[in-house]
Amino acid sequence: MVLLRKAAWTAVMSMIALAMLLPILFTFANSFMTEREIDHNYRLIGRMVNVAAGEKNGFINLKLIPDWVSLSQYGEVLVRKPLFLHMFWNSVFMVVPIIVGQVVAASLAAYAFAKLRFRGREKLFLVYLMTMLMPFQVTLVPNYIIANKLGLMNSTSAIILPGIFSAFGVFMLRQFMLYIPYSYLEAAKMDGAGQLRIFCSIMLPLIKPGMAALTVLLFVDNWNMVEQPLVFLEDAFRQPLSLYLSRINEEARGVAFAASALYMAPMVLLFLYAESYFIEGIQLSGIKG
Amino acid sequence: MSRLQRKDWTAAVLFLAPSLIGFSVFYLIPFAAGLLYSFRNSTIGGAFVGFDNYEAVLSSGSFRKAAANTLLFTGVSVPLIIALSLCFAHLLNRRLFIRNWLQTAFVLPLVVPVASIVMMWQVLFDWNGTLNMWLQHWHMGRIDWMKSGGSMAVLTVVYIWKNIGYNIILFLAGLQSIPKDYYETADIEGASGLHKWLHITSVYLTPTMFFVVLMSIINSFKVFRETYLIAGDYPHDRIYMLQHYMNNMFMSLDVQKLTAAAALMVAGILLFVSVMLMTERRFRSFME
Amino acid sequence: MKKIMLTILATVFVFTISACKAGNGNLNHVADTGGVNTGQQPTEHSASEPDQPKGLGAPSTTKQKTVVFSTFFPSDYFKEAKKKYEAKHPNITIDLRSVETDNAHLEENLEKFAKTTGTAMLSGQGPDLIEMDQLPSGDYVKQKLLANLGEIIDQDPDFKKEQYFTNILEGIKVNGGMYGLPIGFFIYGLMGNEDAIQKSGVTFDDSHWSWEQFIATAQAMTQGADKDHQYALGGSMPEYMTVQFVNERYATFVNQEQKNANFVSGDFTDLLQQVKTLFDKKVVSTEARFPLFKTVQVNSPVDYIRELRMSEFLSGGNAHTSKLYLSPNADPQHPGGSFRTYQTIGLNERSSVKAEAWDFMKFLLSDEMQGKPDGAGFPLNKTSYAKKAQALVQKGSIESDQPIGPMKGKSFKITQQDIDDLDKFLDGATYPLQFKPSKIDEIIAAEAQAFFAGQKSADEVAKLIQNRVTTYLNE
Repeated sequence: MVLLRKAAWTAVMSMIALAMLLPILFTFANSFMTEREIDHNYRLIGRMVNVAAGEKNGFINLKLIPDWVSLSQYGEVLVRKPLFLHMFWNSVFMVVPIIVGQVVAASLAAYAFAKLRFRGREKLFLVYLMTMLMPFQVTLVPNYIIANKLGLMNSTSAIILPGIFSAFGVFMLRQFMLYIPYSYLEAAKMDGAGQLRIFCSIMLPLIKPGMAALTVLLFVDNWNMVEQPLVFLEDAFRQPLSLYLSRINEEARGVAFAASALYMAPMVLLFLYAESYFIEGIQLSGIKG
Repeated sequence: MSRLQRKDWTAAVLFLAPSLIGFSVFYLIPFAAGLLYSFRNSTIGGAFVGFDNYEAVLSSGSFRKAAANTLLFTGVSVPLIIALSLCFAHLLNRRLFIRNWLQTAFVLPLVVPVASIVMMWQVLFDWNGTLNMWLQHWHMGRIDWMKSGGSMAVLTVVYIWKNIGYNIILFLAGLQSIPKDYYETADIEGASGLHKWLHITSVYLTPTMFFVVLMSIINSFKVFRETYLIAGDYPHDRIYMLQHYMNNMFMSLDVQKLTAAAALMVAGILLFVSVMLMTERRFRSFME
Repeated sequence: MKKIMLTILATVFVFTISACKAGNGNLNHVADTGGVNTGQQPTEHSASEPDQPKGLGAPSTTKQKTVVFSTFFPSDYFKEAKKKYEAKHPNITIDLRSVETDNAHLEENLEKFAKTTGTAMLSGQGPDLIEMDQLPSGDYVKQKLLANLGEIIDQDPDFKKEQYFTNILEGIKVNGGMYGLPIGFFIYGLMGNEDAIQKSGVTFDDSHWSWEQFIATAQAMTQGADKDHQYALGGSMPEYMTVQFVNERYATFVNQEQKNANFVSGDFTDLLQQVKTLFDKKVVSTEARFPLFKTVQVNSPVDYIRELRMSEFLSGGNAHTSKLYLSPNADPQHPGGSFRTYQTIGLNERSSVKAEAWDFMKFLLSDEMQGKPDGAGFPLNKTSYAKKAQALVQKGSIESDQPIGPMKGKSFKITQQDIDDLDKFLDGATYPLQFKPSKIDEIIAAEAQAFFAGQKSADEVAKLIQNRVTTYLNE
């Protein structure tokens, strides 16, 4: 009976999961189609068929199985368009420093917000939150002036530095740290440990799952970032991959699916690797009240 | 106690310093400058004009429309996504077969690039799209989905699809941070499932909930990118949001109205955030 | 709490000061050359009072200066100008910047160009000279980001207005100011089948006729013509025809003051129906073989001759003489022909090298550059145009540019009379067509398409246009 219920719930969740995966399956399946097949299937997107002039009305052809499995899209993207790989590495070299930097800076600040008592703590935290709510365009002009003053224009630092210091990591890790009971820290304090010792030897191990989650979400956010590089990086060869796939018009449709599939690959791998780690990590760390 | 607090203060300064310095340069100063622009008539030079920009923004019919739409969209889709993701997180927290795979499946929509989302969106909701093909199959007329009253529903679906994984990760982490012995004690006392949820789960989820709600609001604004690519800068007025208004103001270089509109929006959310922070403080005093 | 507020206020204060400094000149441009510059800027304090007329003074001949010139598309014309100008002024560097793009990424690169340039200009930085064709120049003017060239011209005895097409200079004025100078321009008109017009005996005045008058006249002329000749107008799309009709009765549909639109009305659905009837009854067509009139864009004297003479070489008894007429345009403020500017250049109001930038702009418009045979469009410099035209007359004929088809290898003769005719159009062009269509035009064209394709009813389309235009008007 228990087994049956488990199977039933698994079936329900699998159905929903399949629906969630549809766009991804769609992308992967279409990445093996030839340019001609893609054009044939999707040429009606955004078009008004002129019925008045006697054209035949039709529909877009949603297809998950290619007529002919072909690697031509991948060949086109990887071999004939060197820019793609170049931008891929640009993305990597932008995202990795942001993650490393933010995890370090944010965990320190989050500790102060979560576990240290000082005046104006809540207010300062509210200021952090406020900056997260501001739309990007609002701070664009002042950011431009600052980047210019610091000599960061047209350099990847103009993307990496703001990426490191965004309030997101501080906010997230603070919430995770709130779960750690004070009693843990008090005990260490009794033993004469300084705050840095407490942070390193007690706090850090306990919030590892939170850091894993942060890493994953930061990776996703920054891998998908479009606006900042658009304004701060003038040269095409410095731009990240997200800009390559920020829009697809008719001309680019033929190779867009393979490009998207390759674009998703690192994040899918990261998920498969990290997800089980941090979910189970939480269980293992086994906080006791 | 006061000696201890002072010690905490110095430690706090040291712990905060790296983050605070960068944060001030790249976020706080631009934020303050943005706010300042909303009281001036030009970004360079210019004069102080008081609340003129705010008056101009508030008197714009399109701004009011956008604010109402945004409020409606966020007000409906954020509670919806919270309820759904909490529900799925509970289900995924049970013993299921292939649980890890299922979890991954729910999270994966996060990685799909904007361009692919837009493609899929068009394939389904275009005038010549699959949905209209089905309608025709059932002998009903076509609907121009993105230019109809139903367009906001489409937006809600895309938003939930894309962001539910985000929330599920966080809720799962939150759920599993709740000490098991609380539930065991409650079981001994013979508490019902609902009682346990109300008195243990919901209380202990407070910090996570705060984070998830705020991120959901922020992410609900990010659907703009996809909407913009599908429906352009002046879409059907059902899906004309504050993001459209602000983006259009930016594209026409009207930073004054842009910042005034943004300040109004942030002030609105801030009211809500303060309430959440207060709830959280109750939780904290409980933990301390 | 107080402490934090104080810190914020202090940082804001420091920031505004630095922002003001940043606004007073883009130091980095000068520093780029890494040369003799000592940090001294040409006196630019007057930049904060843009209303005050002033002269720019002579460009520096000794100091190292860099003028940043930003365009969207790369242009050989500008590249060559840079080379020549730098050779003449060794102390000045023209930093020519453009966007590398392919068709697949055109839209996103345009968005990027607009955003980057806008942000830079609002920050008090930005290029010294900008090609405005792809940018919302009206908004730049509103934010006072561009220098009023009209004032600069008035102060500069070197710039002789009468050497240029003064009607174009007048036509591009915005609220009495001139915020950009084009390198060239195109003119628009209707190429008519002169033989058929003469034969029909119908007379008309094309100097200020509306589209409706045009249609009525042309219909009278084509009455009873055969299948190939029954079209009054070719080369027009129904959605653009709709836009033209709407613009002619703009006040009926759009009230800018009250910020409301009136598209959900019998007026508009009738208009849609009227345009549809024109196409259905084969009065107007997108691709008619031998229409009485067809809309043409004339790019150069050579282009004019080709458009004019081509019809004389048609085979199968269809050969006829052609004549250029004015496009319908009932705008009382700008009666006469329509023109569209090309490569309009604006001068950054906050540029620290205004004098040099202006000097380079004058060079771009000088006879030395404009006299070149390969520039696109009619040169703004009238002297250069006259020289080009005279050279053509002297040559007596030009070759067809078509490598295949019936026009292959044909040569068209050119006379002084042709040039005189063309001159009338060039001097009479006063109605400026915007380089970019307005938002309202865009919305009307996009939505109306569904009606003409037979996909949506006129009412549905009218509602959608009303809906979107209202949002635009009320922003």
